[in-house]
Amino acid sequence: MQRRRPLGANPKSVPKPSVEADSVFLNIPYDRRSSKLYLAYIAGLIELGLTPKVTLGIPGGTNRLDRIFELIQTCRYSIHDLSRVQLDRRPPCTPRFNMPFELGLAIGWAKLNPEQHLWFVYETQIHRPQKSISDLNGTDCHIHGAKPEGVMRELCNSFIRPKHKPTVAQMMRTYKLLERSVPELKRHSGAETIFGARIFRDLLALAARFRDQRLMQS
Amino acid sequence: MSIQRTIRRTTRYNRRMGHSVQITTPIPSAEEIADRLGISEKRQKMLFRIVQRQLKARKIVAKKAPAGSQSEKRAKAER
Repeated sequence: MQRRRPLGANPKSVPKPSVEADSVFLNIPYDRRSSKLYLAYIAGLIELGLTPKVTLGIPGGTNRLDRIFELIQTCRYSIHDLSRVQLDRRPPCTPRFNMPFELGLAIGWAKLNPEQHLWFVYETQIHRPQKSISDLNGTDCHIHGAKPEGVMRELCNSFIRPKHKPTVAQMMRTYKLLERSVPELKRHSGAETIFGARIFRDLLALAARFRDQRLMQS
Repeated sequence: MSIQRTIRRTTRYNRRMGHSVQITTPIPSAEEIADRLGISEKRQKMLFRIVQRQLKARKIVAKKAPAGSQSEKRAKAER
């Protein structure tokens, strides 16, 4: 028998997770085709002084959804890349629903708590979201064209800093250094892919180091 | 100070653009990020060595490039 909240308990008294003002929930596909964009998002957000968070490392099972939602709740912003609308070639041939589903969670949370969460939609092709997710018609999508430079450009459009504005060229520098570091990082971590929790943390730390070195030299 | 007041103070939502936000949170350093992520000091030192190697390799490539080349112009823009 499920335990219910005692009668008369105020739902508003349930403590909400604390929001980290510089955290961004990154909802992007984790596949080889998206590996360049994955690194671009990491480099771009670190250059902007934001910390990306991903669902990598959250184990499956009944608690996974709760943990994903908790992660969204702790992030001030979320970026949802809806580029992966194709069917997966491996059987069974199905589309990936995780990205739109997590976007729905973020929108629901933002509707209930508008001052605690802001969400952004990113896509590869212009006008495609109007067909693939027409409920969002009227929402501005950020079109990156599946290029790292496009991702950097749109991140600069989404997040504006009055001071310490990195340029797209500076972000691309960090991205290229990060990309070149991946083989050595995989060797040290024993990882076969960059889509893992441990290597993700290492990528964040590396990108931050590259950014700090650039700021010291300038 | 409550979280709502802090967030209101640190971010401003630009309604005219539709989807851009001004951020004024401080930029965390690499050490702060590593501590927040729970990366051990030993691993941080390993990552720092990777950074040094990559930056050194980049300098060698930039030195080898002839003057006025695209790579030199790019390097100046990135600085």
